[in-house]
Amino acid sequence: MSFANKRPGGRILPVRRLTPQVDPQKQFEKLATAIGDIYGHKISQLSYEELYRTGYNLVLSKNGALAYDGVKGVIESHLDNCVHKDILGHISTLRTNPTLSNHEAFLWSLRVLWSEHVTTMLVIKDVLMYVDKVYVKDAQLPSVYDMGMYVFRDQVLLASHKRICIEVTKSVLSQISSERCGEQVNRSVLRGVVDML
Amino acid sequence: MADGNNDGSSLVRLLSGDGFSFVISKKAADMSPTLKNMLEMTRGGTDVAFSEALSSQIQLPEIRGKVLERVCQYLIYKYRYSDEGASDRVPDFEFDVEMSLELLMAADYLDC
Repeated sequence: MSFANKRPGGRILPVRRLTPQVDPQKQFEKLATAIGDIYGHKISQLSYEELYRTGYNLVLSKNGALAYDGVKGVIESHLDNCVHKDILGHISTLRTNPTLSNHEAFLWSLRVLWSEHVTTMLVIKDVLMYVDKVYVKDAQLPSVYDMGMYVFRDQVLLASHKRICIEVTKSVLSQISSERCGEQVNRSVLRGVVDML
Repeated sequence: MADGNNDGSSLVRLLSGDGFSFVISKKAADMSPTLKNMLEMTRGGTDVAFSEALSSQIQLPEIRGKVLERVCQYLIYKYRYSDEGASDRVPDFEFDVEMSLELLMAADYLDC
């Protein structure tokens, strides 16, 4: 926008707040609840403007760190829950019964977790666009989307003493060797897992 | 309200904090990345739309009616002249000095 003075000598009006001031912790809780809803596929019930404004107000009130670190924490704990609920169950099945279909089920569940995570991160990245623009640039941290990717790597692939990472490698290799022996393998699952890595 | 969201002539309604309502074309609203994201229907190949995208209505409770009016005019101005490279054919966008601070805050919020 260009600044052109129509009437010189005009006084700049102060900005009046149209919405009441809210405690930063409560604002962050609103964001945290919304992220839970996003993971629960309830996005159509959410207002983007309200969430964007929450991020905006947090950054303006110098609470950008609360927003960024808090969101990171929420994503970490969510991925941790998913890992414990779904993935580890598959790994213990594989320990006792390493059949082809079990490997496939394990890779499939990992792939589903990954694609849901990517979709969620795209949404969160859009909602926290103001945080990305202002706070992340100032604090020289990775952008919100990149942070999400690092969290996935740390929580899912490298967690539990790298157990999941090792299992994934073993599963992919066993699928490849099975195919070489002539057995049928679900290629799209394999391709998906390789894409993820 | 939500019909015709995929064709270029669809409209969106912007509501200010003090009850004013402005209707502009979606293409003009897309000049602001913030508004564009609000109205986005799919992300990464999957359908993930917020309530604003489904209803084609955006509430902006922090922006006053008078300010939102100038913002809408600016979005249309930006859309109108976005293809013109030479700056001497593009008229300046003028506004009152009194409004400049509120307009600056709104521009920062909407990233335009």
